[in-house]
Amino acid sequence: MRCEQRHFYGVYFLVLIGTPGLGFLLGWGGDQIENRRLVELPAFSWRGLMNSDYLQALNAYLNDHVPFRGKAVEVDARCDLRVFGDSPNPRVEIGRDGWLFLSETVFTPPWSREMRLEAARRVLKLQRIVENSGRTFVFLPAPNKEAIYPDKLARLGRREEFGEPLRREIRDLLFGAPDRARIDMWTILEEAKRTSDRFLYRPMDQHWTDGVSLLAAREIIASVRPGLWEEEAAKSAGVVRREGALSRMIGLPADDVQEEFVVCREGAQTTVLAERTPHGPSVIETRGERPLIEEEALFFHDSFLAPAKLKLAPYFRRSTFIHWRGFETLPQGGGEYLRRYLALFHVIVLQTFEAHMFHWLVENTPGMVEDFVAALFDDLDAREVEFALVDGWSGNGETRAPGTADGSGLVCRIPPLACREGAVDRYLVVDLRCATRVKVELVPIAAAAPARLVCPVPAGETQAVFDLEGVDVGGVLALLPGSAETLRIRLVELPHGQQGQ
Amino acid sequence: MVFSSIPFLFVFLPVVLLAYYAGPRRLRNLVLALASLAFYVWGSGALVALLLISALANYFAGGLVARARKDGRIGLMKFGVGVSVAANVALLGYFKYANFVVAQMNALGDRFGLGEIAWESVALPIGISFYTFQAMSYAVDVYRGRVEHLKNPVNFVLFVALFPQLIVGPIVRFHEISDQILERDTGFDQFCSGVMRFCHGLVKKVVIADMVAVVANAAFALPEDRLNGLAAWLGIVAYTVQLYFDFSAYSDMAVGLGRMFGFTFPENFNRPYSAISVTDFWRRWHMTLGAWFKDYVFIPMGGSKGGPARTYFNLWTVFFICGLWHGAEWRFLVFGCYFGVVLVLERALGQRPLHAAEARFLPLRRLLTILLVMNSFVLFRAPSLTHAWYFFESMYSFPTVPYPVLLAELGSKHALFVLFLSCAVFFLPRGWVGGLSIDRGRGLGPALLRFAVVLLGTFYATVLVIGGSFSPFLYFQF
Repeated sequence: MRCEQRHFYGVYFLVLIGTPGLGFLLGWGGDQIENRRLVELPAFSWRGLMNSDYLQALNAYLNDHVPFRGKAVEVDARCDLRVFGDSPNPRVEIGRDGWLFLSETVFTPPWSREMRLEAARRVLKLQRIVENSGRTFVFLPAPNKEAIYPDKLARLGRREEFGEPLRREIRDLLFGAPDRARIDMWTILEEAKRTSDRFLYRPMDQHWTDGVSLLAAREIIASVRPGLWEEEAAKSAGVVRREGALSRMIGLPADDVQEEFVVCREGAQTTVLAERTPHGPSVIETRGERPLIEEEALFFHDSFLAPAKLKLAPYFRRSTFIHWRGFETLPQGGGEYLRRYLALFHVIVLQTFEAHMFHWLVENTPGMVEDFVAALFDDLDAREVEFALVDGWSGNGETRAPGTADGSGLVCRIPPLACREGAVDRYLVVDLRCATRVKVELVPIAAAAPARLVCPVPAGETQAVFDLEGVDVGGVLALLPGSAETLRIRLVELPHGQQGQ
Repeated sequence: MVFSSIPFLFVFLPVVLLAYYAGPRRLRNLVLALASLAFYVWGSGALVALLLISALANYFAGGLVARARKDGRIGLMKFGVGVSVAANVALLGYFKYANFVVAQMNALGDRFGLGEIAWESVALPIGISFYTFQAMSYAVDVYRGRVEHLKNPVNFVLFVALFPQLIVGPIVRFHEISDQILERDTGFDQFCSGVMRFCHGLVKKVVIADMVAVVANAAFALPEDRLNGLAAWLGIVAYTVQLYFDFSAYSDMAVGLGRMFGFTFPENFNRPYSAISVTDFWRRWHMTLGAWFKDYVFIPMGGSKGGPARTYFNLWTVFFICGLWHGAEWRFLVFGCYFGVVLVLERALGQRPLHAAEARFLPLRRLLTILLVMNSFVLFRAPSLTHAWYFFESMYSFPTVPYPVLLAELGSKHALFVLFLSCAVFFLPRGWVGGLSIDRGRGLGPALLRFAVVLLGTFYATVLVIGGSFSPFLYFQF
């Protein structure tokens, strides 16, 4: 090999490594190509240097701010896509005609069949709890993109195992018996696809189009107050380009072109009162002479219904929207949210993305059923024991309700109780209004305590009272076989000698 | 900090090269020693103190041996070497094996109701296996009279901490670079030669090893009930390819970086998958480790001078220690014992490394060797012995799993394509060495190879390194 040739490669290498280095100095980096904040330059500290925190943060900063990052990602993505036909990001599935899908919803949903069915069962439970309290309930699922457009998938893979059969089971469970409170968006969108040439989902994104969000708004209004929706109030706002999140995920940002809509009811003025955080509650009020739904409405929703907020609000006197993610981002947690808000509202709407039904309805809000009960049946005003009511759903390694064959019973645990001598009497009060039959087991913790105390309760009672005198209990298990949804347990402390009510 | 990372390629290396070549020649060792310490701090923070203490202790032990040698005091020489070896073994033993030993003792104590030893887990300092071995070689080499004691401790710190080979070798014995520490060629031609070798390694690591790793990782991550024979074999072939391209790439980059700064490091690999026996394999795989063990363990134990039984014992012991050196886990012990047994058997059967021309059934012997090696790599890659066992079961049994794994689940077309191409490493002729062709070959073929690897390959590797920092966050949208 000739010397000049070797020197050429040497210079080439120096340019290759030197240019980004020089770019750092000149501030060329910092391409904002992801939907996240880039890491900021860490502040130097000797302690950080010695425990490696500083240098790890510096590495992250350099990775994010290296010059030409956007171009490199694009070249890499194009190479994968054009040369090999691979998705540059394993989380995105490349479909036919350039359509993109979220791989984890198409092929490998992280939740088992039982877990996903549990989400559907929980919707039914919540519906009964809300309706038993005299309120209106609406549930609207947003189907996965591939459920409506399976023809745009390039490969089927293990779809038979995870996809259609389970989806059919969920649909049968939720919509087998027609109910206005549960909106079958699968059927509605399948019908819309048959009768229209317009795309219902955005090819470059996981979401449906703005036209479908209008359709969802119409269905919700029709469910709450049939006949109130005004077709002429929905108007086109023109054709808009929106960047697709999935295209961005593969490093090749591309826009979807879609027609967008607004709802303008003449004589109705809509005011956004509060938009506290991207995921926190936003409150919208409508005034005017048009007929409105006077009852306050609360929407639990995700990004599918977010574009429909201003399409729904003109039909409600006052509507409050809470993104499911609010349960994660706010420090007080979901239970606090629910307890604070639920009882104030008379229309409660749940909307979830099909793929995330289990996550939002069960996994992320494990005490949701109990929180609903606590908030909607708040006339039981005695002092309450802190308790965690664990639904006995099975399939993910959690506790099954003992004594029930199918695990559908409810298990309630309270912290260890030791009945103190003299000062007070303790009674365990179980609210039976949501239950048909109940049996409570008091499990002693002290070795000297009597064996398991079983107290069967006759049907028809609204409240069961158990005298805890002399019983040290470490846990209380309440089993509600059959159709029971939930129960409420209170520990009442009364002055010595006074019977609990 | 790995060589194929953004901080190293675009910040650390350009800055160190600039400081090294722009500064006065007499300060170059100091610049390089400081850069090496900074490199270590970047990865391990305060644990650099341990490296420095180890280096200085070995330096003074070497000084003691040198003085005793000058005075003809054999006892003191032995004492100096003994202190150095004991200190290094103790250091390695504590930081690398203490957690393992305590865990085993606690397991035993638990079994026999003896209670547990209260123990706070010890963090493993990066590169300790390499730098203790290197440092140990210093006192031994001075003791043997191979080299002179270094006058300047900075030079010794440079030898121990020299960043190109600090983390994953090659293991450089002191006598191999003692002269270069004091005087070396740092011309532009030498630098460019280093660049080409570094680029060769970078391409091997980023374009091949990292891509093939996708397939290996997917196969080894499959649960027991989904792993079938095809997936297991594909996984272990992918891992065999990955391990070679990854490890040899690091060695290439280390050798290349060494040349950029004027050093000539020993080679670490010589087409190991073309070996015709396991003995031959170990003469081609991680050669510097093999040489170190031969020099400082096998020969001091008596080597092959004590008759067959003693030789077999020595050989097996060396590989037992070699297994232990690779990691403080049972699977590495089994790995070492396995190779010890195979090597003893080969020696007993008279299977010595041969020239290809002398060997019969060459393709069959290559195939058998690679199969024996692949089996050992299952132990190397599996996270536990249990996992390795079910991996072996899948490799050597008829498929019974209900849902056979689809090829597409093990990797993208890109990854499978790279794996397919890189399998050439199993079939290339024994004499052909790609690295040499890139470095020194003449004519159109080598020129095209150079163009492909150094110009296009390095550019593509750089794109992959930078592109690898892309991490979009989907759920923001939901």
